[in-house]
Amino acid sequence: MNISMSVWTWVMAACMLAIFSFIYKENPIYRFAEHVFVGSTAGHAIGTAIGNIHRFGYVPLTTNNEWHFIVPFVLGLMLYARFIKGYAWVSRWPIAYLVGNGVGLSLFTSLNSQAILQARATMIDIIVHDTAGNFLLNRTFDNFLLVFGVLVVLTYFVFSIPQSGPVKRISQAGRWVMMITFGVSFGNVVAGRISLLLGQLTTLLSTWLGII
Amino acid sequence: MNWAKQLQNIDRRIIYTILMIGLIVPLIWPIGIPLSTQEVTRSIYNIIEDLDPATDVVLLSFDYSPASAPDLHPSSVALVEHLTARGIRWVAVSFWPEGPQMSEMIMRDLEARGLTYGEDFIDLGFMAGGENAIMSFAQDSRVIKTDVRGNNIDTLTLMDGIVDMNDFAFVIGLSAGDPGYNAFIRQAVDPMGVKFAAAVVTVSVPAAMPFVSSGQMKGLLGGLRGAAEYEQLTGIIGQGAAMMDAQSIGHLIIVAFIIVGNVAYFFSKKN
Repeated sequence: MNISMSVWTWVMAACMLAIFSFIYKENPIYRFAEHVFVGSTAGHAIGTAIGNIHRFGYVPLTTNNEWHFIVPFVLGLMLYARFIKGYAWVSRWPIAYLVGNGVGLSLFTSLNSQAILQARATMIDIIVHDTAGNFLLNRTFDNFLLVFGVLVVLTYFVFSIPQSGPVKRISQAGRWVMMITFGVSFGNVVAGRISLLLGQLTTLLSTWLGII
Repeated sequence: MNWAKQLQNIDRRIIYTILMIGLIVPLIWPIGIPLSTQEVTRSIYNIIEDLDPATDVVLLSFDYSPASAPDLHPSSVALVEHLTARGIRWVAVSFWPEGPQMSEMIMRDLEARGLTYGEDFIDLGFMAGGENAIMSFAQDSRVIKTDVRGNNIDTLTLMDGIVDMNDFAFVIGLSAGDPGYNAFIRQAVDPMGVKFAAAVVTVSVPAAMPFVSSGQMKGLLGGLRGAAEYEQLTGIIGQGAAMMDAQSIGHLIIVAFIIVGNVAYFFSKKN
């Protein structure tokens, strides 16, 4: 065991344990740590934002004489008009610019990358052979499952034909596929949270206590 | 049945205690549970193995914060260790404000081991603008004029011949959210044909997998497990492998509680 002698390591450990104390029950120590965390996060975000404005806006504007940077500065200031009674309408202009920019940036690219290319990727061989002509069971099963899953889930969301008879059965299969997918997603969420917890425990056990 | 009702209402403090013990014990006394390697992890490994240290430069985009670091930082370290072992130079960039903190941690360690900033790796720092910035950087990789240490990029030999993102032999996004791998696919991979792979947090793996299946991403490292698999491939064992035993035991404990809860529920309903 090699306990750290650094003050900041002890502060870090104390904050972590204070947050973990919530597991037992809510208490003033947890609430204090939570407030410190929220406050420091907000302060860090403000500091970072001011630094970014300075580095990416003010310096090019004043040092490199890139006068076109005055435009985003003005648009950014116009956003704050939202807080001035009677002038809130001024903030709609920079918001309109942001929305337009976002739509223009992603309209084609989202359609291309997340719809068209994904749809193309489902047009695959359902029965797979290798180059020597041998039947590949694993790949065939994977490809069949992929195509089957896409078709039944899409059928679930077809609302323009009556969901009865064979369509209803296909749609129910789609529901099952979606539930399995949600289960997989939930499992990954749980795994992710365990990973984050492990990171904190590793920090406590190695950096603070020196056990591992 | 009393026991069924009691099992459905186990005090959460008991659950947390059992989980904590189940996580802490394997960290202190590792078990060595065998780990298989997925094809999506091996793909990234094979691509880096095929790179030419003399000519190829890799771009690493550090798009995560300390909040996601326990899940994603082991993957970053594993990738950098592989690049370093192969002598492949790399450039760091970030589209998250906290990204440079994460790359700086890795670079500090490499400099302590004798590698040279400016020759073996450089850090272009944070570029504001989200997906706009990714698009801008993809089309003109010299848009960032100075690196995090104030050097003009025109004086850095690592950036010689780099005009746009296609001039990087391989681009790896280390993504915890947005902007991340999605934005890279939309703005660099599909429009420009950039060779791209990603290391993502565990939560994002189901959403990222379709892009690997379609070939838009060449490979995927999924959270801590991805890091552990990659460390196993490279033989450079780090935090990923060290935490996998605990991760596996943690999962087993949660599965056990889910089964117990469901069995108790069905028995109580039967009654």
